Amino acid sequence: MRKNLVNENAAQRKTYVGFIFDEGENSRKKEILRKIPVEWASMHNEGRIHIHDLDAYGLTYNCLTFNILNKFPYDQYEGLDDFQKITGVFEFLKQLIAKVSNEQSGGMGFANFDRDIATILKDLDVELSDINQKLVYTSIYNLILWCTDSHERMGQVSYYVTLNIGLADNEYSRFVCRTVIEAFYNSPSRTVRPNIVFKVKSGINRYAKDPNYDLFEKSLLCSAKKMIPTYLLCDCELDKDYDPLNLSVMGCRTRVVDDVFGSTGSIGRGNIANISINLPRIAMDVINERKTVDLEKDVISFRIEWRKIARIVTEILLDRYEKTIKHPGKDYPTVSNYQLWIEDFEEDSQSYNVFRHGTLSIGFIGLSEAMELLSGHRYYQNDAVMAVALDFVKYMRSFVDECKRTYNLNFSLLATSGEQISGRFEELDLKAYPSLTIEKGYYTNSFHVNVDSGLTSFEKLSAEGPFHRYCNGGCISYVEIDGSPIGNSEALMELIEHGIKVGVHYLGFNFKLDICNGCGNSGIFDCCDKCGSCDITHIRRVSGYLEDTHYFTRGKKCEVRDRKRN
Amino acid sequence: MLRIHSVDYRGSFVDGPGIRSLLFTQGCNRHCIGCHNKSTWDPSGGYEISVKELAEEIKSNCVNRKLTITGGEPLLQYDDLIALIMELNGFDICIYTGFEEDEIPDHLFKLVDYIKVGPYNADLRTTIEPYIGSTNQKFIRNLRKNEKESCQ
Repeated sequence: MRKNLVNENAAQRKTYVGFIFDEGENSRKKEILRKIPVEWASMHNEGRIHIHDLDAYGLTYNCLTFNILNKFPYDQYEGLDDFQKITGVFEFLKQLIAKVSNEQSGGMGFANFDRDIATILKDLDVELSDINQKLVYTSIYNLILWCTDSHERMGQVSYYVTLNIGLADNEYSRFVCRTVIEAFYNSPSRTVRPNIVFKVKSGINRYAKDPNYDLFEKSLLCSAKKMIPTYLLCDCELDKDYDPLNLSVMGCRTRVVDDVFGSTGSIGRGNIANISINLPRIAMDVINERKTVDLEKDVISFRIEWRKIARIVTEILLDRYEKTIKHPGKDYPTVSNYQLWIEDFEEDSQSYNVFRHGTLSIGFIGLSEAMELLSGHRYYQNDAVMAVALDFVKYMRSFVDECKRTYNLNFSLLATSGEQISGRFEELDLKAYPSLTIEKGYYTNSFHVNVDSGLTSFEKLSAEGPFHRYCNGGCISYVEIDGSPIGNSEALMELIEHGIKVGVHYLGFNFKLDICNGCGNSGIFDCCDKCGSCDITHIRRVSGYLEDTHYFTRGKKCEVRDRKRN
Repeated sequence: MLRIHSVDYRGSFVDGPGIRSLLFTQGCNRHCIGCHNKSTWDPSGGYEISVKELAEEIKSNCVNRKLTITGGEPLLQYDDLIALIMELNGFDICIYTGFEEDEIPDHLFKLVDYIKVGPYNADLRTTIEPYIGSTNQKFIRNLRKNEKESCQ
């Protein structure tokens, strides 16, 4: 018998408050599953689908990219000196993050952190003197450490904050951008937050002749050392026609761009809710029912079965949306006070006008296992199966677009990371189909190739790139590098160029990063090669965030065990 | 004929700038303590291949044309090494040698893009300096100006 999950969430630390929170969360989850229609609840319980953030069902939305400039409280800095203004602005940001995290279930993002901070400081007449520059550096450095070290949220987890940077357009915002990168570069090796995303765009930073090329290079050197920043490739197929200022990554991968209510982009918008579908289970249902093996027929049955489930998922998302919009602005005091959404809340009436701009996402996990079950091949090893896989993802996207038209709401297709579910789905599938399940302790993230594929970095991106253009609710590809590529910005640039060419929207670089708690040395080791201490923190990226492996879920531990370099 | 151990086209991120294929030449008399590639020491090990054939193989497999020649000690087969470099016209080439900078013929510096010089010294091991294994080693950059646009 396997032990139950020790940690449901990679960023988790337990405290008294955390314990009480978990008790409440669990009973709330049970209550929700009792209240919703039995068919929905059993699909969740059986692991056919996963309703994310179930405890927040009908209470709040998932995540938000702040419309920070909309109602920034400039008046509270009147009459203060530069020191008070700078420290005050960053103190305000920390409090904002902490307060908002009580009002929503997921992460918080800044679409253009460098430009926005520059605008705020300039509007407050803070000049870029040497002493002010030092103070801004220190404030950003402290914000980074706070994001890593505060495990205050829900009494146990750190805040999920994402800073998008790279499009700085004047000396001030270039300074802020450079400072974010330098502060993260200089922070201790154990620093794993916030998530920083560098937006790559031709004409701005992609090529040597572009004005922010120096910042791009600096960012790459930081990634080569610490895996952060990751890269939003604004010139890719999916994003190339949008203004890059409106593009950003929220949390680990959420993408919010099109809006049936007229706006474009992520600022002041977020995801309301998402539900992921277990693809391997559908494949096993098909295999279980079929009389003869015929890939073409099986793929049709697979689609039909998926569609049945996706229809129910749509109903659940709609129900959740309807319940969420019933809440008045006063239930979200901070977000409504600072008008962080694209439209303003009304204190006492429902929030339709606000939340209609949010996305409802249908996610998926284990495309690779599902294809292997149906065809006997891993999709990236067989051109015909690759075509089937791609066609299926395209089909999911067309279903989602159909929902968007039918209900006039922002449905999107999400390539789910599956932090909690990669192990949970497999475990439940083993109960349903003990002999069919591909047993390894986890399912592969979204459309990713298996972590032990052994494909080279170029091959991996070529295999995954074509899927990105369909996943308009968010997706990422990673390259697993053999050792930290210290100093090698040129190599990372090659991968970014290749990624853009093959359609990758969002790209991250992973490598093993072990830190000695005795002397601070870093490298790849179980015992320090300098001081001999075996008290080592192993930092790895799973589900979009860096974390200490000690706090991983079982599924993610198994995944990390199986990873092979690209 | 060049005696080599193997060519790795999977792409290394730590043996010079960019993603690089690695050619391991066979034979080294230096025998550094802590050497990663002991199987390349024996001067009669590995296999022989003509310079032309090897160059053709590299050209068809190393798509991004970035090659690091390491070993073994590549400079022990100096004439054939130069012949190979001449064949690989248009390649971005890096040499990893255990010889010191002043022991290497001037001619070689004009033919390649990067040279890592100096023997590995386990006592001076570093994991934070790019492209070198110990701090006594030196990574010499941009020996010939690349005419290609850096990122376009």
